[in-house]
Amino acid sequence: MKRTYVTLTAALASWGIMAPRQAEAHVCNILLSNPPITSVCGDPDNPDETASYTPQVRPDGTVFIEDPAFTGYGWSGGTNAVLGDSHELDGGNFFVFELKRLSGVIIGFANDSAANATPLDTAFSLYAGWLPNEAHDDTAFDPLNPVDDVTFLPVASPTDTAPFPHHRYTVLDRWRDTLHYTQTGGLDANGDPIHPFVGQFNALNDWSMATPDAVPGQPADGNWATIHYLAHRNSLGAGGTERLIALLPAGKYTIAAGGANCDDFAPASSCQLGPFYSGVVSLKVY
Amino acid sequence: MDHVQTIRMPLTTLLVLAVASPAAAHVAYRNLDAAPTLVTTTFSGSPIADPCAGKTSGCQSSNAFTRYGWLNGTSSTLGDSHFLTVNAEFWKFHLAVTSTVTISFTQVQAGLDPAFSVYRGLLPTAAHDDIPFDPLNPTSGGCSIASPTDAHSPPYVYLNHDGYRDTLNYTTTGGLVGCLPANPYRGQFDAFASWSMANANSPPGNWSRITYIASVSATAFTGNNGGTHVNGTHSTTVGTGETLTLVGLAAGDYTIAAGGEACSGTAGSCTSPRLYGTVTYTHTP
Repeated sequence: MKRTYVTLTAALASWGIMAPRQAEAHVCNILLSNPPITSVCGDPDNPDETASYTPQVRPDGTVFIEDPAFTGYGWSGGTNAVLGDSHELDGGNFFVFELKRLSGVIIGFANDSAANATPLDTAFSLYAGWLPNEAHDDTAFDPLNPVDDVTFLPVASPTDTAPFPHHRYTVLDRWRDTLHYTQTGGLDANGDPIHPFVGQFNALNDWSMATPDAVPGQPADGNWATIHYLAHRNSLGAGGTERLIALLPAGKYTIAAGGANCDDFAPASSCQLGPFYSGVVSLKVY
Repeated sequence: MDHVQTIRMPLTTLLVLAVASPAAAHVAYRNLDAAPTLVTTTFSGSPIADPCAGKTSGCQSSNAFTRYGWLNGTSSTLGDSHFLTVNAEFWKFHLAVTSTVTISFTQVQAGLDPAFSVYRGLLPTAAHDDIPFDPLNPTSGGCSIASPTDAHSPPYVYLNHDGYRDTLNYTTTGGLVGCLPANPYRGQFDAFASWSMANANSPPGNWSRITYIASVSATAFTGNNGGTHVNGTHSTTVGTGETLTLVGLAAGDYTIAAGGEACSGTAGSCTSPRLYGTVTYTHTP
């Protein structure tokens, strides 16, 4: 098999990566490590009520974890102009790893043919950085479709508005135009967005989320982060195992894995109605 | 002005159901027996005085209520538990002995139109709608199938808000088109009946059904699962809300699902605002 390495060093050089911190609800960063380390997620105020995930290691050193909660539309949702709901990838689970030095990696996402009645069309995106544990779409610090407190009309996002004037927003831009919604169809006669953002998950660009502990107007203190898009894979169709081979510098990385079986968000479409799929996310570091 | 009602609980109807343990992601309980966690800004970041300041317990606020989250739970397709508040907050309290309890839910920002429901039991912390153990609209082979947790054993005629969900034939939401629902469930939150959720650690200890006790709202009651409903009033004025007094509430754990009943539909003025509200409770003894 011919291996094509994607060298991502240069793209990473200028990004500051925010460290995660346990907060209140939703994102669970499952650490892919060898030797395996158990990742514990949940509400820190209720230490007895947490979830734990421990990856397994194959004889060749590949770390992998199987999860049964992938949807057929979670990843493809993040390729739309209105973006995707991060909950729909794998119930809020993201897969993370940390490299201590420049390393070659093979990332895989496989359909679990033994568990799935119909095959999962696997897809994933790779990002530099980690989101905070328990982050979710639509928090006060990083709101999804922010509005004025009194008029309820759209206002600019405090985190996702382009930080330079005259930015021309484009579909799947890193920035989100929550004032005029130029990326999603504009405003109606009442000044409401015709198509508000569905979520903040961007499968093809940088994106951010916060935890409920991040207070607007105050330093995020580890409760908000942007992760930086590096690459994605979804080319093999249902049942295939998507792989990414890359050379990565030392740092922290996130894999957003989900399904791309369908992209039909009509209320009664079979796409939205399941089933859940089981899939296997793997990482080999050289 | 608050709408105040007192309900004397028929103790024979109060049932203890499953209580949760380990968890993973999403439902976040605000503990009314604990000191308040002060919320000092609106969702948009403006400073706001938390009415719970200075209290030692019995009061917890949120700035993330939606205008429609509780109302959705009164529809036949039910509501998404994430959208009572967008932080998926629920309120809880524990009674050591049979008590009289008074609960109030007040809007601190205009436009919310508060309403709430009270249940016996707790959801697993970090539970959410649509988990493989307790799926929202389960299918197999491209067709709807019965819920593994929420179906009633046949023969049974499903009714709206009866504590069960017919995910095989969707008889209460408009039936099937082919073998899929014309109107699938939007979520699992039922404002007028018992309902269940699981977290990612299920099965089986991380799933529970909470038992409907009472509700107060201006929205007409359409429940078929026991409990008691009190007719409230519509108001979107700051300082108004709903109050409920429950007499003879048995010892145990209780969940409050609080949210807005101001509007429904897809207009941004309904779906986008995140508003500030405060839940309080007192108990005697």
